[in-house]
Amino acid sequence: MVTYVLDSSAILRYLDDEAGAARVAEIIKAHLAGTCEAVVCALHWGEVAGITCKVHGKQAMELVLSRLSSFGLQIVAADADRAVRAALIKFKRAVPYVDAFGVELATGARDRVFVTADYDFKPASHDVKMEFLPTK
Amino acid sequence: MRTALGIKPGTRIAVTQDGLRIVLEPVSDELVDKTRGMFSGKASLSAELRRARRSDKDQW
Repeated sequence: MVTYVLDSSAILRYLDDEAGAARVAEIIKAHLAGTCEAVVCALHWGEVAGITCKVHGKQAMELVLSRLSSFGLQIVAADADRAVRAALIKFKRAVPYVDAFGVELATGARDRVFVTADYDFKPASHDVKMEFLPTK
Repeated sequence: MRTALGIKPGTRIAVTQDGLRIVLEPVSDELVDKTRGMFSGKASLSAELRRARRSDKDQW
């Protein structure tokens, strides 16, 4: 079964209904139907919380987190081993450290796909299978 | 009520707060569609993320 790793840019596009939102909704529906798995790195989960709180306030943030949690998205914690692997990805591919955690989560298994709207990830596409959401 | 809302054994329930009310909604494709664009037409979260990323470049 394919596991989709959703990064913060993909989730925020979905909440804003911007380009690629339909694809993210499709992945979440497939996850609910049990035909794929959708996971989020804890750092990206925190980024979704922080950005939503900053732009729309704490109540909106709580609504978003509770709604996304109800979809059963698996939030993967950043432990010591992950932190080191992410640091190595950052060095090798020159992506921001937070983003490297997302890439790390998508490595190690052939059936994992990293879903993002952030084209800064391009250098890391050598390491993992990536699905870039459309720009428009 | 279960039939009307399409609730079957194993159906997930989303719990949210609306002012002083607690709202229970079955998790369904409709809820996924309703959540999509919940901030549509308001200040863009994606734009804020891009701003944050630009000003938060870690250089080590």
